[in-house]
Amino acid sequence: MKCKEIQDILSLYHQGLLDTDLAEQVARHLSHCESCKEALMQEKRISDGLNDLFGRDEMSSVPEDIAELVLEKSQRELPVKLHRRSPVKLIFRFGAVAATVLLTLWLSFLFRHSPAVEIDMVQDAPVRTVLFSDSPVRTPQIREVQRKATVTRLKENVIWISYKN
Amino acid sequence: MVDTKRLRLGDEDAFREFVGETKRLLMSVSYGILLNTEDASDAVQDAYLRFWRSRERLDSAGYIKAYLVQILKNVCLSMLKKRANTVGMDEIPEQGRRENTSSRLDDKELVSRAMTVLKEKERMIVAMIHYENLDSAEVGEILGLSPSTVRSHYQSARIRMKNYIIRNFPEFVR
Ligand SMILES: [Zn+2]
Repeated sequence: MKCKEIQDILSLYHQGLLDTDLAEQVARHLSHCESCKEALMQEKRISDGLNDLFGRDEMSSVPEDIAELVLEKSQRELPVKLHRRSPVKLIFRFGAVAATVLLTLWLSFLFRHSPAVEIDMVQDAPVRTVLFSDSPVRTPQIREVQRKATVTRLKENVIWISYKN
Repeated sequence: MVDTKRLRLGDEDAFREFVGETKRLLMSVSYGILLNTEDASDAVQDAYLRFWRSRERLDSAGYIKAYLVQILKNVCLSMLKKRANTVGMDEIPEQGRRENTSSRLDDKELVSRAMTVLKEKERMIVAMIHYENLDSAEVGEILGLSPSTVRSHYQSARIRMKNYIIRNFPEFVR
């Protein structure tokens, strides 16, 4: 190997990054070549400089508690509602849900007998006029026993009933 | 090694452990790119914050150190871009300083100057190899490169550093 080739890989040689075969060739060359020996000394100085630069002291400027700093910072960034939801608000929210459920149950209990229309009456036509024997909604002002109502089918299981006085 | 699953679930102790394992590596990579201790430290903190925020997306099959270093690299590069936009303040006085005091520079200062001629990837490789003698396989695993690619990057980085030093500080050779 020529001196130029040797000198190009001296940094790898000094760092121990060469394959064994190649490292042995370099070592043999170094044993009898003064100019490559000198070049190796330069590489050693650069390597030592880099070791100093990236050595322990230089890198100690990372805050000791960096993990705590990061955790704290990330907690502060979280949206308030995710983290600091007060128990009072939770109770209100739960209460509202419970009340809705109870109200629904109570209403369906109240109207469990509401008769009105046989569903097949409104099956085909979207709008149809039918006669009710009784009003599903008890309104004392309405006197007639029989009234005309318009039944509109909104969805498969939903009908809209409107009365005329 | 810290369990990725624990990190993904937001286990803060796992995070503390992970930071303890990786902070020196991160600091040296960061310093290698930015060549300024204060900026490097800020970048490391920012990188951990981004890492922790995106923990739910961690892939347990992936190499988390590699993911973390990738985040750090992006943080550092955007810092460099910002720095480039805010006038090359540190470059101007450096020219003058070099002529006056070059003979008194120690080798550490000298190689730090020489690092500036390297590309980011080369700086990262040099930093990792010198922070605690990581070998080319470990560096390659972190950067997603083969060991031989790492070695050839390192070799060409060192050649350019040496040429820079000889050209600008001829007394180094004597
Ligand atoms: Zn020779």
